[in-house]
Amino acid sequence: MADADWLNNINLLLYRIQQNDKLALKELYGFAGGKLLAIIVRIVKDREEAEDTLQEVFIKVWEQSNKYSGRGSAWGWLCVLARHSALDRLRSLNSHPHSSIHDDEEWLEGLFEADNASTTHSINRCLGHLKEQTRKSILMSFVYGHSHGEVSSELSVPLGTVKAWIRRGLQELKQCLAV
Amino acid sequence: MSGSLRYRNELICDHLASQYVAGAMTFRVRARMESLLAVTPELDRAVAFWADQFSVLHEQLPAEVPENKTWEQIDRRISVLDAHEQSASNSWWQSLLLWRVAGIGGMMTSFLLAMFLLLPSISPSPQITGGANYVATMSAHNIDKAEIQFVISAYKKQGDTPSRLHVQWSQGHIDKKGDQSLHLWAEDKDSGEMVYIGLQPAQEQAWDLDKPSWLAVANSSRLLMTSNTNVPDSLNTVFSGPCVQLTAWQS
Repeated sequence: MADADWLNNINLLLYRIQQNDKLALKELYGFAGGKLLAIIVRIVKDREEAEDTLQEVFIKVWEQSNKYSGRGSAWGWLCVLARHSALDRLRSLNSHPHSSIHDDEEWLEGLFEADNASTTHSINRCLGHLKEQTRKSILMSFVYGHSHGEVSSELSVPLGTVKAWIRRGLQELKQCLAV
Repeated sequence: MSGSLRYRNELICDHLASQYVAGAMTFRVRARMESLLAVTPELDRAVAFWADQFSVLHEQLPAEVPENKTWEQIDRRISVLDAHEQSASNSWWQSLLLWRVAGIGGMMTSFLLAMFLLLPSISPSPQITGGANYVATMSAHNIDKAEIQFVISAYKKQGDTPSRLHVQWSQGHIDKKGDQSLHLWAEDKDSGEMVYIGLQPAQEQAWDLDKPSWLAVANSSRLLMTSNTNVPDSLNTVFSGPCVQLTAWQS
């Protein structure tokens, strides 16, 4: 799991934002703004659009923080909010300029190396156990925001195959994460 | 029981949750999913599971450095939003001030107008005869010795008249009612499960209940009013009160 103190801080900041504490929003921005921008850039790619999307995300956090039910981590909720906002921005631009998974090859390889400290994270370990094409499809979908159709074009495999890879991959991941 | 049972199926929950977290839903489907999340804990749990798992990957992404102007623009936009809220609140106070200085004639007019508007809601619907079957006395949530602000009376189905709820504000608190949307929940007296009844009608009117909602009220130990459709918690619960069953009047 991610650093527990870091996650707790995010939880506390979101709680304060729910109480209309504007300073907490600024602290959250300093604390997690860069990470959220990294998520958005993977999907939107255009830097200016990504910065505008980050703005939208923080306005939504300010206005809709009460939508966070407290189930799961606040960081997980923020990631989903950032990804949805980035995908909405892409759709409104009517374009598909996702970053390519190849741009991050070094980072991705590091995630699944057996002697890397990051494999202490269950999700890294379990993704590492999946077949390469399955892992790639899941990462393209869940990190880079590609639709199944886009994954199918990128990997030059039929759409049905991509859907099956992702569905089976998620089942295997869930089983592995439960161990 | 509210919501469809199929959203409680583990496989369906898991599939929908992973689609939601991946962002593979259209805007409209996502909005529908979000309203389901508020009333289907199983679905909400499945979303939290996948969101948490993939958030670990996102947390490992090398952070980017946002431009300074991004925060400045966020700060400016929030200040504008707050100013709008403040000005809306100020104009409300100003309108109250006008009422205050309007003199006795104005007060009398207001009083008569209030009586005129309140009478239909205070009087039970002519189609319902007999007293309420259940009553919940509602006060501000989590405040010790809070005053009762309004009463919810529940009337059982009679003939063609469906089961109904009436919300009746205390005369001393009618001005606190405001325009806020309130959502009603019933807490099951045995399991403690929260059952969503629905959004309170905007006007002072009877609130018709279908059979599952009526049973939820009848089996509840407590009714709660929340500010949104999320399951009641300490943040979104505005009013709560014990729900008691009344015996019939003995002649």
